[in-house]
Amino acid sequence: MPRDEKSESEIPAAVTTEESVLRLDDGRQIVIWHSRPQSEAPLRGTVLLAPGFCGRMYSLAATAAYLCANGFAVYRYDPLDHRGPSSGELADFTMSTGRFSMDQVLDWLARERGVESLGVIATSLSARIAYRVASERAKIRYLVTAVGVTDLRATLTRVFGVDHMASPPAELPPTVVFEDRHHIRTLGFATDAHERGWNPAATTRVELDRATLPIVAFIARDDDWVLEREVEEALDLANHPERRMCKLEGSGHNLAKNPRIAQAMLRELTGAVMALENCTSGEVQRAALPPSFPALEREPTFEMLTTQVIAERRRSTR
Amino acid sequence: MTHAAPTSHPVGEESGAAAADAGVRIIDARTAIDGLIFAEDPWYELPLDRQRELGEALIRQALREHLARCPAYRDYYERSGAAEPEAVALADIPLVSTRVFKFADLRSVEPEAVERWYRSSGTSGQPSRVPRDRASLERMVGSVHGSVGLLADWDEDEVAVINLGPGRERVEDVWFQYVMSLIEALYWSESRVPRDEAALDEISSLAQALLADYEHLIVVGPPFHVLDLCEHMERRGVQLQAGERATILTAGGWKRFGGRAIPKPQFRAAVARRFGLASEAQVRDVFNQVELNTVLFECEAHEKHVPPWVHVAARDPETLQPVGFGEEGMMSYLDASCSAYPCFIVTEDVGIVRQGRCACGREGTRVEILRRLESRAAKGCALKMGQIHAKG
Amino acid sequence: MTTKSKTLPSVVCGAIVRSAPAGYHASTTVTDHGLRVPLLAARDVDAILAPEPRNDLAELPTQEIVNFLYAVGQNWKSSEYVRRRLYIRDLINQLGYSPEMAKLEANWIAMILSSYAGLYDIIESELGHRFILDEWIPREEAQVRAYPKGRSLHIMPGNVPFSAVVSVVRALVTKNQVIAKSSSEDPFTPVALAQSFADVDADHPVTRALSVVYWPAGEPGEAGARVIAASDVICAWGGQSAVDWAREVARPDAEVVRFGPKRSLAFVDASEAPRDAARGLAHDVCFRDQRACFSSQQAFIRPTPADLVPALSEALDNYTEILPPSAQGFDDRGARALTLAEARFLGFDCWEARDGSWAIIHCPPSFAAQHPLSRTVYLHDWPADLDPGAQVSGDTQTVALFPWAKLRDLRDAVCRAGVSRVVESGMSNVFRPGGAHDGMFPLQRLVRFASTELPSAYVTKVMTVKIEQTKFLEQDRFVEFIP
Ligand SMILES: [Zn+2]
Repeated sequence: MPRDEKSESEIPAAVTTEESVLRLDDGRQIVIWHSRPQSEAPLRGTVLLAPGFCGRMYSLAATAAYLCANGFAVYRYDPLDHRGPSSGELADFTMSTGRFSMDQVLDWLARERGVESLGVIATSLSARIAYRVASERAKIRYLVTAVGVTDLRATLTRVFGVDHMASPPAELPPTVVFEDRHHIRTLGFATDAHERGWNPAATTRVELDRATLPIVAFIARDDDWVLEREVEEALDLANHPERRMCKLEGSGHNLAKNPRIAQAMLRELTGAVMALENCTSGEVQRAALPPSFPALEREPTFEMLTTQVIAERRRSTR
Repeated sequence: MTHAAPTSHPVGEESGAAAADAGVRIIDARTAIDGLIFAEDPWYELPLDRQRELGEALIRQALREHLARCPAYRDYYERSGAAEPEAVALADIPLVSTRVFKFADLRSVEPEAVERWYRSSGTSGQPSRVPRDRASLERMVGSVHGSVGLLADWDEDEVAVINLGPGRERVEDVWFQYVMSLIEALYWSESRVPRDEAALDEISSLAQALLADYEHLIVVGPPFHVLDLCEHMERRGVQLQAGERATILTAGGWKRFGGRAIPKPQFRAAVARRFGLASEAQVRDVFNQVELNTVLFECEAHEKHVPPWVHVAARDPETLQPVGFGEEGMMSYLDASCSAYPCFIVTEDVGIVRQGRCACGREGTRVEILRRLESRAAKGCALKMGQIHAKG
Repeated sequence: MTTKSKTLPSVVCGAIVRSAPAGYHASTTVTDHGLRVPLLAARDVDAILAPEPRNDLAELPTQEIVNFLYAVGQNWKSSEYVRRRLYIRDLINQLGYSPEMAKLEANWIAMILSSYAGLYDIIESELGHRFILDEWIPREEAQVRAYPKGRSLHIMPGNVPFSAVVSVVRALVTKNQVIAKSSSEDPFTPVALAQSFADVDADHPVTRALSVVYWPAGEPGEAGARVIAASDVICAWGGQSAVDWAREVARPDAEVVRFGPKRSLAFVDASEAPRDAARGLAHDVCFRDQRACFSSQQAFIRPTPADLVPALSEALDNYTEILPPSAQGFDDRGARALTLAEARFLGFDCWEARDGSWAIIHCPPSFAAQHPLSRTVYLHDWPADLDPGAQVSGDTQTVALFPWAKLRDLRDAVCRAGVSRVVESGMSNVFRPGGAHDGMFPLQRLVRFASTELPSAYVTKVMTVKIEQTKFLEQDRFVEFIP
């Protein structure tokens, strides 16, 4: 469809966003967005946002806007075999593809952008991947998860109403349907989950026991897919003063559903990232997080957020 | 349970956040109104009694908040002699005439919380000016989101929209155009003002191209623009065959050049014919005005359903007391979704309120807007507006 | 829901036409009656635009026209006259008039038609001579005569029946053919007037000069467009859109005479005689329920509005009794309820009749931009430093004053600022012969003046010799004759 290029440039965006393409040796591509604050003030830090399963980069527009408004550079990416512009079909997604994508992006950031260490913010399924990546890569300074999955198999059982992981491969349905619309091939996903150890309930706890970075996990108290106690178990807060759980009252798994709650969450999340950036800048790696997070410096308005969403939607139109 | 609206907190103050056990923080930003507007299950599936009960509690809560925050409304309320907010009957809550917004700035939030002052689209006389804060705007969008289900269950990727109005870059502060342009936050959209033959040609080609590319096409615009488009396509011999794959959504005044009303059934038939729609139920109307924060959608039976957070009443033109269901009156709304100003309004529209089970099968309250009040003194303005609209 | 339905005829050159080849315009009156008015048909336009109705009237001596109108007026004066009784019934049943107001309306129609002396006075004061439409009248060194413009189209007012009659009478006494385009609000008056002409003499040139037609406001259609194109003068009454429309569609050389929209107000010093002050103001508020341009909508009050309210309430109550208001339609009632709600929101004091027949609002003048009419009067403070001229504009028609002797000097300030008429409070409906209407003398706009000038044999005032221009030029003597 022809587009009026001129009108697009007239939108006053709160944030400047550039697109880059990471080309892999096998020819596949990962699309990365880089958003920067418009002010000339020195950056407070850099964070990488990983979308939830099926989520698109522009669905993280508000998170990016909040962080940029408060001095952070924000990278987003679309994993391989996912819903957005990167190579591959969503139907072929596996946990290890997600892991591979995140690793590739982190390597690219270090190699191409000189971002040696940074914070990671991961949503839902990508949080499970981020927990593993964070436990294995040293340069992730802190991790923030939102409705992050810790027990993959339990969550998938709740999502599909059936524990497909219990089925022998021959008895698996060829595909399952996610959120009424998205067909996912089961065999590859299940095989990967079994073989690469994504399934067992205790693995997240085991991986996190090896991790030293500070973690803030947002959970929704009415989440039907990710349970509070699963996250509590995995995080082991009693033994980790550098970890924090923020519990959102009245929300389900979709944090964007109720904008009042989303706004409170984004304020808290941005404050958390500001606090984490401070407490990891020195030698305070296993130190306790402060009891409350600092206040925002700036909050994007409805109009800025809407403009951002629309500009990003236009950018990612098929 | 009542919760303070988090928008009342200054930026950075933890909205309802409290430290519990070590390492755990509870963030409670729940509000009853947002809980209803943004509920998982649509409000129109609630039984009527439940809708009424929820609505009444929300409106009283909104009343208390506006009395606390809007001195102009509080003074008016006190002068009116109405009972305490806990005891006052909904019918007796003092109403602000929508014309007040032409000459008085009403506001229940701090000036810095106002996103923008929006104005009515009238071109003659003084426009209404209405402030909105973030919560009010989000709830307005929520009222659209929560009612789109009355139309159909679309996947956002499968839908393309043609908005017969200016795009976001050009709407400025005209509320009607602003609301229409927000559809781009929901679906892939193109905005075009059908101001001349060339523009109409372009829109007609765009509609054909989008029908080929997308599962579903939505055309939104004021009725007279939709009619202009259909008449233009007829002149050009363009006949679409959209079947079930298009929805025509109208919003705005039902008057054409010279102030002549467009008869709705004929309009629906003409539009359905030109687009080749499977059913006239795919031609729907929505209602809103700058002083009202909630958008009202038509169901397939062409009745405008009112969500429970809006209490609607048709009122006697002399006493302003509610008339019975099914009787003509002056339309009034108590809209609990608005935090920026007291949205307890009586309007210049004449209409009918109905309650009970609708022909579509849903239970609830519906409104039919019949016409605008035409007092002798106000005469002359309607004609002028029609002319200017027709010129685009 | 409409209960009864009525179909009006049209009038083509004095003849009642009950068929409607172009169909009807249907509407609902304030009393919820269905009403059908025939739309102007092409066939009728042919008859109306034939030369005879126009030329026959132009040939008629003024006195015959005046006498004819007098005869019609004498009928209207009689309470037994069936046309009058039907007309009063229509005003009551269809337009919601109180019987008292309907009767008063019929009386005023009888008054203008019967006032032959008044008609002559108006002709004389506005055109210069009573016989100027019949004879060559000496005037300085010329003789002048007034001719009718020809065909006059009247976009009729819907608010004041009397104005519709005034418009027709002015055109007829200046010998213009009349095509009255009815208002959908009051299609009764022009038809009743035409029928009363036919009652006196169906073949009279005055009867045949009057046609009553209808098209919806702003939509004349092909038939209406022919009438407009053939009209030498258009008298447009009504709202801004109606008068603007007339100017837009009129032939470039046609005269457009615009009446309205106007508003009127009063200055009242009630310090000495509050009851008299209240009575005059109440009359100007109640007469025609403020539908007329001259009705007082607002009043500046001394010493204070609150002091006048008791007497004014009493006077308004009295008018409710002696001249009950007409039925207010849904929209008029709604407009007033909204206005009162707005006034109360803004904290203005409001007083309402127990039966809702009138309302008083004490508010600043800026509130008057919106006015619901229906016997609603805005009272304003009148501080010593108030500039009366700043309270009026070209939109202000009549300024009523009380007490007259004390306040008469206000006229300079308000007329300089655009006002066209200053009267004593309580007299705003009485248009005295000789007075101006909306800043003009309307009869002048309905005629064309011609002059025959004296031959050379007559010397001029500044020259004592015969005018021999050739000789003067040959002798280069022109300068001698410059005074
Ligand atoms: Zn329905």
